[in-house]
Amino acid sequence: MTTRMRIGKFAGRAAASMTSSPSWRQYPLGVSVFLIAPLCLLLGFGFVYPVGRLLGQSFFAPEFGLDNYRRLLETPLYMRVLARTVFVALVVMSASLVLGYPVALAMARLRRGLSNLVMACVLLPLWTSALVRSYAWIVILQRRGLVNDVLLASGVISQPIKLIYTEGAVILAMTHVLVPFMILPVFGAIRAIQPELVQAARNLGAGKTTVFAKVLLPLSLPGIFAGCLMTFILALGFYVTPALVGGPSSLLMATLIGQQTTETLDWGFAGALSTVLLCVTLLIVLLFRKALSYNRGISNVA
Amino acid sequence: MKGEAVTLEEIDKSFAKTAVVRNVSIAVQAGEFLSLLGPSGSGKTTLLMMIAGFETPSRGRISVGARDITFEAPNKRDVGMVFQRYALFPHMTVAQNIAFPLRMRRFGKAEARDRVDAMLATVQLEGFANRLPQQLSGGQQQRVALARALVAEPPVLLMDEPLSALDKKLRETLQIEIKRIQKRLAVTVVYVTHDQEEALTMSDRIAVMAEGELMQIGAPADLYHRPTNAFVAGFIGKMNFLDGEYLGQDGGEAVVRLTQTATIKGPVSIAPAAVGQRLTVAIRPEDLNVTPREGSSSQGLAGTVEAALFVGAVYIVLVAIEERPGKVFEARLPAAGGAQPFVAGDRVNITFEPHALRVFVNQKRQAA
Repeated sequence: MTTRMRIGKFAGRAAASMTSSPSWRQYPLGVSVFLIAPLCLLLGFGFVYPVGRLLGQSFFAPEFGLDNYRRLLETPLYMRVLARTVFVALVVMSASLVLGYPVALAMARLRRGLSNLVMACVLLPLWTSALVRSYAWIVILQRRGLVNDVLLASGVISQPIKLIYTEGAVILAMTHVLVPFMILPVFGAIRAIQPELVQAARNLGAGKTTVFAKVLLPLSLPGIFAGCLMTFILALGFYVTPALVGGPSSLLMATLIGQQTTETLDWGFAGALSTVLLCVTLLIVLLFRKALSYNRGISNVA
Repeated sequence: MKGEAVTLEEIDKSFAKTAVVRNVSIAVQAGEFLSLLGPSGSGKTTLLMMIAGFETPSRGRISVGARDITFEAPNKRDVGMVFQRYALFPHMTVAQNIAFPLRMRRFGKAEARDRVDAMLATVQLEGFANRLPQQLSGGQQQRVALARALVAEPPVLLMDEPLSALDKKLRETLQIEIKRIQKRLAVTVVYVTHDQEEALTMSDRIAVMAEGELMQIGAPADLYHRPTNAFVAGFIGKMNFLDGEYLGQDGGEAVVRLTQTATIKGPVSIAPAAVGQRLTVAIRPEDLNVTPREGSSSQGLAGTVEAALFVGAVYIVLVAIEERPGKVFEARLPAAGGAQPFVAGDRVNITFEPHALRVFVNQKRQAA
């Protein structure tokens, strides 16, 4: 009935719900295979094969063994990059939630016309390339950029401060790019809440804060989970923005992998880095799923 | 718990310059079951929303007992409400839903549990405390909503078409149940509905609304037998209408011409002021007599039977009025004996007692 159910299905019973749905059986097997074949071929040649090869190379290049992984685990720099990547992704996810939730809430409660306007404001940046948006941050944050100019002119600082090519800049720019991926699922979840539920809670004696804490927030949890998962995973593998606005001190996994493939041409090590990043991502998806089913469990029994 | 009076004084409400409620004053007595009855767009739900605090009147005053609540926040009003679509919290169990208003009022755990159990017993859902709302049928969900609205013992209960999403049989069961609970708890109920049968069965008094105005307020039998305007006459129960013209007085009786050949006489109190004034004559189907017409002996209104329907206790006979093409009267005749009284095509006379007639000068807003 609500997003909770839909996400629950995706997370928990995807296979079961597909085989039991009647539309699954409406086409003969041959037609089904024929219809999904192009996508399978595209995915096979364009995704599974190259990624599989890259991952495979981590064990075979330059020679067979776990040397690439040993090097990754034994070099503190690489482990720091991995830890930093997870940390930055967590911060970006949290910042997106804190910034995005109020926007989603406002969008869900505004009149249709205004709500569409806000929706356009949220979506418009999505249609702009992440490259353009990252360069925009460079313009704003650079040594003689907007922020430094204003601070210098107003006398708050006497020397330009270093804003660009820092971890802070990476987090700021990535949050900017990823916040719509938080807003949209949260908005969907909040809009699916019957307006009468808010009225009922008010009628039963709840103040506005209590309505939020006891009704809106719990019922928008599926949207929050979906948004967090999406922003977190996207942030883990983000390449363009950290590469442009980040510096050596804020190197992230994706940028490191890029360096290995294009600069040092060490494909084996790039493969090892990719494998580790993939495993971390999968682990976190699993954790999210666990958390989600735990959350559903609570609401079912308590 | 004891019900409190609800007083609406000269309430106006406009949305963006469109008046949806116009100068409505209603005094609901403590412990009374009052229905707001009207077609959609009559302003009845807006009125309820203003009592609940989800809308504020553009003008006027609302009070519960001696408290002026016109601008009070909804959560401070202590007025229970049952919604059309139940509005149960889907992430809480039945017991948690019912305990919600008690938690808001900081009741102790033990007392809250006792009250929830007592309410569950009242609405006959003892075994359902730990179910989730979506595991319940519509009727059960609405009973939970009722329990939740009443558990904190508010002096007033508002109900917004609470049974309209349920099927007929269940609706009738719940009507009786709601009435029983209301009597037992002596709570004041303001009940919004567009279903006149429901209003007639349940209410102590009914306030009939149309286009934002209060048309008439009174006991069900009052509205049925003594409607003060054509709208109420047509909206409550089945009514036959015919245009007429006031011809003046004759021997202490008012004379009204219905058709070229038929005039009627009635009590002078029903007469309008001006001779020649157009008016509407109304009569209930059960007040009509239908007799076979032989030859040219005309008496009352001449008509032709279009259909005679057996519906159990009565026959419904539809008669086309000959001098008013397109006008069909419905008559309800006792089905005593069981013989089919008329068949389609029979030529009949329609007669009635003058005192059974209602005459209205104001013809606007006549319900179908």
